[in-house]
Amino acid sequence: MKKLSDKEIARALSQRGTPEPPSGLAGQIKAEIPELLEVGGGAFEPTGRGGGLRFGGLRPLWLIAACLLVVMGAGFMALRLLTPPTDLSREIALGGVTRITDVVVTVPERGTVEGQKLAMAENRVSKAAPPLSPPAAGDLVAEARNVRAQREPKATAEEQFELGKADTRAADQAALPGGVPASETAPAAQAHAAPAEAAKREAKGAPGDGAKMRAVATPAFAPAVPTASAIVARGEAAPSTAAPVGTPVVVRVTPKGLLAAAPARETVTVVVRTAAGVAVAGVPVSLQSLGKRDAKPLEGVTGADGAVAFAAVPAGHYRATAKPAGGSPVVLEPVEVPAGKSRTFELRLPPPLS
Amino acid sequence: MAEPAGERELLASLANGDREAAEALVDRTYRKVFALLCKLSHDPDLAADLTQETYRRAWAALGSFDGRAQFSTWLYRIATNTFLNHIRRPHALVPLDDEIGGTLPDGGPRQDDEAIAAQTQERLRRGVLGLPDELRFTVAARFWAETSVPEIARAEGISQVAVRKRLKRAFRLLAVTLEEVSS
Repeated sequence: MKKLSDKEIARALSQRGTPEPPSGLAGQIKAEIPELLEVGGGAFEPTGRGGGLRFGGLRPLWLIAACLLVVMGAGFMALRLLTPPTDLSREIALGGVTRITDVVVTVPERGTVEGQKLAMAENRVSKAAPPLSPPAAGDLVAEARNVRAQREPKATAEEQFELGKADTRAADQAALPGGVPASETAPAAQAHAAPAEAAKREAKGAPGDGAKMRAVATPAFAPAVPTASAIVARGEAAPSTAAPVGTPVVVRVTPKGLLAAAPARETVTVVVRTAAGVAVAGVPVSLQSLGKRDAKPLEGVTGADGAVAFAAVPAGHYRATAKPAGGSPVVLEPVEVPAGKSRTFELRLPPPLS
Repeated sequence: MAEPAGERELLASLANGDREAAEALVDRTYRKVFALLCKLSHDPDLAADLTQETYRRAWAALGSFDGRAQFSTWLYRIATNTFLNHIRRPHALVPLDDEIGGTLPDGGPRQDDEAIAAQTQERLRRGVLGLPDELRFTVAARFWAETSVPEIARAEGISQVAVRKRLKRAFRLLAVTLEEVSS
């Protein structure tokens, strides 16, 4: 016999010809089925088609895939939570706020042409434009528009920021803060003092009587600002007010629409008094948001007048807690802080137990 | 081949003490168990006895059935082992000798062809019985019980590629065996 190939062997093995089982074989087998059958654990659970549990390798694969997805998701979330967001990206994400850095405030010498122009510009602004709101953070107000121009080289921006040229844009400044300045051909950005309190203070304390403000846009600034929209740059926080002459300060630049939509922040004053109405100093007071319970509470200590002020408090509902030394805390809840209204609340300490 | 979903439903009923489910499982599987044992033993009477023995063992071992493979495939493995245990007994009488050649009737060409085919089948059977255990069960389940390759893979806990390799190896051994016998 010649050596058979695989196919020939397979064909020979597959040949039929098996006799039928003898009649009665099935009956004999059934008759021997024991009364009690011990069956395997979960092996006989019925399964549907498609979903559900499957035997063999599919179920472990499905579980592994699900576990991988969960692990990847958890890792991504942890990465997001653990990575400290940069100020710029966070502010853009939250309020469309971007930033100009290195605003240099310098004071021109008295009697120079720039000083004279500054004085003229301040006069025009003070007459034509109402004070900006809110002024608390607006020690330094700059208007910047025409993003195309903002992407221009630093030297151009610096030139245009000089207040010596502010008189040529008096009409635009008069439009502040109501809307977009009229001139479409205006330079990249303008900075002016309106109400120019900071600049005035700087000017008064400096050898000259004018102020020259120069803003330097960082590379991150231009792409972040919406195209063809006017923006308002508003100086915030301490650096702009306390910075000495020549010190770079930080200016925040906010698209106007976003600025208008920014959440209102009010001042909340809590006064702690005894039951007899005497102001109590040195009492720690905390202000916890009821809407955002995971937010860090604002904390302060009452002064000699028994009051503690919390500035820049977002509108909402809060719980005010005073913790006098040696006494039990006193809670006032809810403390409602409406938008556009600064509120003062009074906390009365209970009389000491005799 | 038993339909998997139906078989599982029967097993689920069996787990709940439904005796009719056990009978239905017998109806679904006993023909192929008998056919497999017939191929292995080449003796219908012995195959019938071993079929009964196979089910007796299956009922006793039902608690160890893990559901990894189909119930029928599990039965084929028991049937194969039952047959092997039988032929290993000292008193076992299984026609392993080449009796076909000695009983060839005289006749024309057609009878000669049938005789040659029968002889080849018998040699194949002997060759399969001489295979290593894992190859023997793989060949028997695949060709004599018509079990699919994926199902054999599940029952044996190996990949389908491994099953095909087993079959290939078995074919080579069977070819050598048949050649040696003929020479």
